[in-house]
Amino acid sequence: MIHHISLAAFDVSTTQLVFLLLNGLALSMLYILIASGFAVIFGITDVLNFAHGIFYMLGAYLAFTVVDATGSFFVALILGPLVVAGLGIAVERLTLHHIYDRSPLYHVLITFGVLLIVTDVVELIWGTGTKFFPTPELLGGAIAIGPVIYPRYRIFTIGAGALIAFLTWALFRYSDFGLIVRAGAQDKQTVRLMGVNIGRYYTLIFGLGTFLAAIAGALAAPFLSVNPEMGNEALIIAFVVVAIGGLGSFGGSIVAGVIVGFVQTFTNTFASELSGFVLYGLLFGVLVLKPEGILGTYEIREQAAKLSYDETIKPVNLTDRRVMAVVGLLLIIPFVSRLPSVSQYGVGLIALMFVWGIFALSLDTVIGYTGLISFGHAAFYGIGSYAVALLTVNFTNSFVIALAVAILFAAAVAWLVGAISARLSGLYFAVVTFAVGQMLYQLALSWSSFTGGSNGFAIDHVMLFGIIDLSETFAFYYISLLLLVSLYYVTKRIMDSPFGLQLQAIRESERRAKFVGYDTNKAKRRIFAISGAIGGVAGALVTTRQTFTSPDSLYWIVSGDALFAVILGGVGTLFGPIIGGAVLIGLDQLLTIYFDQWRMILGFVLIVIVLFAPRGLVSFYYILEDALGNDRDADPTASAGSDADSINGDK
Amino acid sequence: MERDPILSVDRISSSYGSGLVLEDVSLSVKEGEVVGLLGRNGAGKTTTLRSITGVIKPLAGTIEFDGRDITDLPDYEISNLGISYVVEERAVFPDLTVEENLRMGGIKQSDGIMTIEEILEWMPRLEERKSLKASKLSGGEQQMLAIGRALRSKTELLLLDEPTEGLAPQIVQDVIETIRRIRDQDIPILLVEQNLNTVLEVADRVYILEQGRNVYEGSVTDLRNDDATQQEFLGVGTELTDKITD
Repeated sequence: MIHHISLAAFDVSTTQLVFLLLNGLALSMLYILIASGFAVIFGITDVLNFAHGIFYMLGAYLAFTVVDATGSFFVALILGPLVVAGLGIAVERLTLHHIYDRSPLYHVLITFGVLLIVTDVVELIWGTGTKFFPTPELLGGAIAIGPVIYPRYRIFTIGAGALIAFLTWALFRYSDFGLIVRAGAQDKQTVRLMGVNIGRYYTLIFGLGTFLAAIAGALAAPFLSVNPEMGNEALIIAFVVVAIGGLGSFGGSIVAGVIVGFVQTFTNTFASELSGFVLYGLLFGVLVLKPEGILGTYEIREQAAKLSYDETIKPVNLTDRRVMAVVGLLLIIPFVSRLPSVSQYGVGLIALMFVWGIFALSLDTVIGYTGLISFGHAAFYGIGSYAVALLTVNFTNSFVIALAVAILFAAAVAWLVGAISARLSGLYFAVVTFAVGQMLYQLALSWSSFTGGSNGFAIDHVMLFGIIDLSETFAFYYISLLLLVSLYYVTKRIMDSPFGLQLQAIRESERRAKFVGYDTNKAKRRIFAISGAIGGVAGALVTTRQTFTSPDSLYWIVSGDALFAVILGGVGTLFGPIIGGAVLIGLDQLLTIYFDQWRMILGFVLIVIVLFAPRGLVSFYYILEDALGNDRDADPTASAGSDADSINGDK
Repeated sequence: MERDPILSVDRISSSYGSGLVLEDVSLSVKEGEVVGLLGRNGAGKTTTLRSITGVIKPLAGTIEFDGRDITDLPDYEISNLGISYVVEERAVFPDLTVEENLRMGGIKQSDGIMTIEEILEWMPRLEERKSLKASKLSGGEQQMLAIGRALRSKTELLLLDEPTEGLAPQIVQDVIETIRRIRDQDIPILLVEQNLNTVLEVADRVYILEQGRNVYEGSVTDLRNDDATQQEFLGVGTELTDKITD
């Protein structure tokens, strides 16, 4: 590979070089626009906006429609982004605005919900096909720049991108608005004490960030394709650029935008097989060497905003009668359902729910008990999946061996991730885990001789003790149930142990846990390895059942779904996330039969849960129990902050 | 000599979530007066200021400013009415320049009592460093900047929370001098201090809090001669040695 690159590099002519440099510049401008909006929003409001790519995509589609209707590209270039900015403002006002005092995890989930909704709305309106976007007439053709004939539209993109970036910079540097938001990013309370209603500026910043995303989308439309995938691509770019440049740093996103734009242009030309991987390699290198990014500053903020878990809801014991009843019921279900076709499907679905229960359980040990926001748990799920698949194809189809290898690999990688990111917390942790997940995804895509590339590959049936075929529904059902119950037992034991209490101390305040003398980094590495191992079990099971694996198992959306499941069920309760995972995959499988756009509904559910029931489905049970008159000391409907009553009660 | 109170705090109780930090605290500040608020660590001095400025909302009691009930107003509106608050941690914006910090002070209130030029003239050390980031300033300079920034905004009452804490003796004198100059402009000040000497030097009247309650109220002259009270509520001697902050 290196041989090939160096040969090609010698062949570059001046013409080609100038052409490449211009291409790099055009791509850089686009990346700067995408990333700066993302950085601005994060820098001021601390929201990691997963809907950013969607707003970019919407900018492109709206531009397409406006051009269709009015024939004017320039009207589209202004009107489309304004509409998207309005939408961004509406989203902020209706959702994020009310929960800034909560853990950033909830902000991430809100934007993930928006992403699910808008993705499907775009598909409903514009379909899934690629749209042809004509180059505006005025900017058609090419002009000569030195020895190079270069498309006029790309020159326009470079100029427009530079102008917009400059105007944005000047706005922040010189205007009162810019001063207020810069001050607000440093100390919101003091800004309020200067008489500023900072909340209003959050809304405006969200509008500005989405405006920048949308105008980037509109500018990109004529020379990149307009399709439903472009949103995800832009989000990844925004993430990578901003993480390299420094989270929340406007200057950083400009520097990194240029670096990434040029690196991508050159790798696409000389080593296209590696292009995706080089991008993540670059990101990973920066994160290892300077986790705060090139121009970022990393300050450990003691997180004032906690997760909304209810300390009165404890993980239930396996010996609890209700749990025994449920497990007993699950044990006999396959026998009771006699109708062959229905039962096969139903039993298979329930088994899949067990697997997602395991996966969500693994994430809860990290998020719910240690307070680390992992946005890359797909990595461990995928590793489990590939470990089983590769082992079965190359060596043995023994389930016990495959599972052991899956656990070992997932735990080892997770331990490494934990080691790299242990000194980080909050959203920095989310970014590193996200990057690791996406790197593995790219690896699976690129290393096709080993992984089968984007199509993945099918495997033999995996056998338990050489006699039980685990792709068979009933056997799979029982092995999954067995693993779910035993993993629940193990994690509960861990969380009740001194080590588990240490984790919860880290969740409450890492600083204080350190003062008390805990090696918090060691604890984080260990719990991450444990969590990764459990996630690996989930991935291994899915592949055993489906006798197939593909890079989809590593895609970041899987990580997002896992987070969704944890919150849906009830973070920090172990059994809640199991319920959440089961419900999520159950809804997923059932709704998909009736609607293509069912994930839109899930998006709404997610937003509603985050806003109104952040402690998840398990809290409903207790609310119900309360309503039925059972005596309980604490009122589970009381959310953090509104405990004025209990204080008066103390008097 | 009897003047109208510009600020009346009437039996407020406040809390950060578990247990009361303030219980039935009352105090008033009259026009042109410097009032000292003393007490040991954890006595509730800062919480009183935070309740007045709306950073936290009292659970009970009322706060009136200039004849208007401000108990339930949001913090930024209280600021716009003319209460300027210099917090204990100084809270200058570290990544903004000195000049930008001063601009922030008057960003919503163009009717500040001093212009940026006047403040810089008054505080020559800041003039020299006006293009530097605030994080590059010394502790004393940051304190002067925080006070200067407060004066850029509309100030009909100035709240100062331990302005001399952690500063070298020479700089403490500078800060005290600054407080005097503000007093000379007839701006009422509510001064929270652990350092009794500072209060004795600049204040007219004094309140002492202990465990979130009023325990003493009187003129500075009375307190100066009242060794028993000093001993009981403020520790040993006139110099407080207990400097541990939470």
